[in-house]
Amino acid sequence: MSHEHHHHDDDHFLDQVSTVATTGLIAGLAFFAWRVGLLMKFNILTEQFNQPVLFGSLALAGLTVIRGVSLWKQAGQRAKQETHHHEHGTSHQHHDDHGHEHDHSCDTDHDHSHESHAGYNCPHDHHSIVSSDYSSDMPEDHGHDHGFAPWRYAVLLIPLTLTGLLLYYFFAGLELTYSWDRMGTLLGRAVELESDSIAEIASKESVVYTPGLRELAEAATDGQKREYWEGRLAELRGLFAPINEREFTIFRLKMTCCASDAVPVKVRIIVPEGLSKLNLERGKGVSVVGQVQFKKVKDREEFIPVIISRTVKRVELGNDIFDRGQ
Amino acid sequence: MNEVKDFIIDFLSVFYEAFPFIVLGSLIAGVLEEIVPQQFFGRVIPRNRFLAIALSALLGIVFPMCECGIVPVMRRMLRKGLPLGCSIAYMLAGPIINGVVFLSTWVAFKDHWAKGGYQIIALRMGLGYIVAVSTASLVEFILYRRYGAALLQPSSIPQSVTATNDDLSATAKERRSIWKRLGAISETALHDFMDITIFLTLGAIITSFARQTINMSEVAAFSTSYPGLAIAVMMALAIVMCLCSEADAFVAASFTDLHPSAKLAFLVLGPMLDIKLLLLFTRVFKPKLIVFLVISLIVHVFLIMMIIHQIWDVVRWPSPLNPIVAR
Repeated sequence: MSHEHHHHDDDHFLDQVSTVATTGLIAGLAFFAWRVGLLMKFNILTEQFNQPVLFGSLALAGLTVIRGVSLWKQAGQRAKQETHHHEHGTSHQHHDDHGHEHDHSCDTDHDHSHESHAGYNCPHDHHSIVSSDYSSDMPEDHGHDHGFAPWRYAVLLIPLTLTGLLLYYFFAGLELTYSWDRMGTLLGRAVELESDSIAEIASKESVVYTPGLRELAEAATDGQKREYWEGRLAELRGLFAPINEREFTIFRLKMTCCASDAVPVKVRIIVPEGLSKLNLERGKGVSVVGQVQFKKVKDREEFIPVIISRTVKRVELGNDIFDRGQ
Repeated sequence: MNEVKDFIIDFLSVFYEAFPFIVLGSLIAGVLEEIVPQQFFGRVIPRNRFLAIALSALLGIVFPMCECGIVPVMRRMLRKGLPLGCSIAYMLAGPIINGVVFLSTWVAFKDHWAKGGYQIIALRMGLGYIVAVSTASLVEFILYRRYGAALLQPSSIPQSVTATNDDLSATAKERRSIWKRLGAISETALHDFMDITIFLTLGAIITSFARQTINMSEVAAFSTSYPGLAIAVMMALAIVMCLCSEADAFVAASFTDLHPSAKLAFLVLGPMLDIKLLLLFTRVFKPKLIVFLVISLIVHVFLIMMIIHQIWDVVRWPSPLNPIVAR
């Protein structure tokens, strides 16, 4: 097995140092993001998924520190070897043809012949290759690439930069939410109702409840809950999305893990006197007090919650556009 | 400017949701590489390869991983001698057949019982298993027999060892200090983390751009009347949206008008195939195998869901078009 076993140590060390620096930076930023609540503040992640960011950042930081120290020691050993001028040095020519550029440095004293790698103090195994069902004739590469590839680090600059941008938004007190176009897309078309009645039914009591949008939306699928809520007064807060001259949708987004899986929870609002005088703006906050009803969707065995409004007013919601099940 | 803001939110949500699980997957990969002997899996799995594949598809129950974290783990298992078919069965079924995903699917669909929610929960698990085992078997018994290790990237190829060298290797490892073993684990883990994160980043970029241009509600509404189209569209959405398998059930449940077969297509295909996973696959498999996996998964899911659609209507299970009417 004669081969050029050329250790491009400089490339390898550069790659490893870059890896340690990059993973350290990612771990640090992720920890900081968790510490200041960055990802929850901008509704990027739910609380349930924000906690794993802490564990992920700590685990990555731990691995980075261990690798950094290990690399430091390797660098020291390598410097010692270079001063020794031992028989094949750090850029040793081997005569075992492994058929590949063996471009790495190991935590080793390199005091071996490389005829067999047993005893080679590498952080990964070196074996001779024999054919078997799942072995190959291809060269062993220890399961990872060797050498420095700057494009890899350039790609990772993207999440780092965008996290930095998010931090800027955070400390500058700026808002960052989905645009109206996106929210409108998520909202979809309003369904047609079987009845276009805008009259209130007999009220159950005069107390004004504050159910969440989700609570009413879920009640629509359950006969008992519909019965409980129907005729009661409720106050709802959410975003305004007009449907026609006297109807609009009040909605919030509900996410399970992250913003990408956000879905709208919505309630139809009917304003008997019409929307024209209310001066509401789509995508902005609105508060509604009115009577809860459930109306059947046209041509379907499905109900949706509807509020026959008594008062409607603008409110400021800021980043608080997500339904948290209240 | 709005598009930029939407892009930032989409990108960071995909990235940070996956981040801790990729760290976990990389850490497990590092430990596997250092601790588990070469060909370990080859020795412990059943000799009957189909049985081995069928059992591997259930590994997620005892060893749950999401679809991002499972890739580096699966790659190291491959290197340690887990047969390709078994690795693929675990990779495809693991993100569906585990307790966390069962629970999230249950929570998302339990209130949709009148529209077939319970059936969706059960069929997601069952059909996910069937698709994974079937695809893995095709890879194992047809593709692997023909092309062998040429289907794998060099970094994923299992290394067979002679008994002597294995023993030597084990002895050498025993002699190594804890610190050196930790150093080795950290090197492998960080390498895998970098490798996967780079392609996660690229996948998140493509996904975030795609989401700018696709109106999901419109697409779903358009396909409501045509079962074949609805299934195909929901499969396309699953590939583009790149949702975590723990969250996708809630998105599927939000498409209230869709037939359950289309929702199931979304729920079964999504954890097995999406844009970011495609890019992650390139770190493990050669293009030939990736193309085979893509075609096999798409054909499997589409055909099975078309059959389910017909069965659903024949047995008159509840659906949005035929719900159980509440009082």
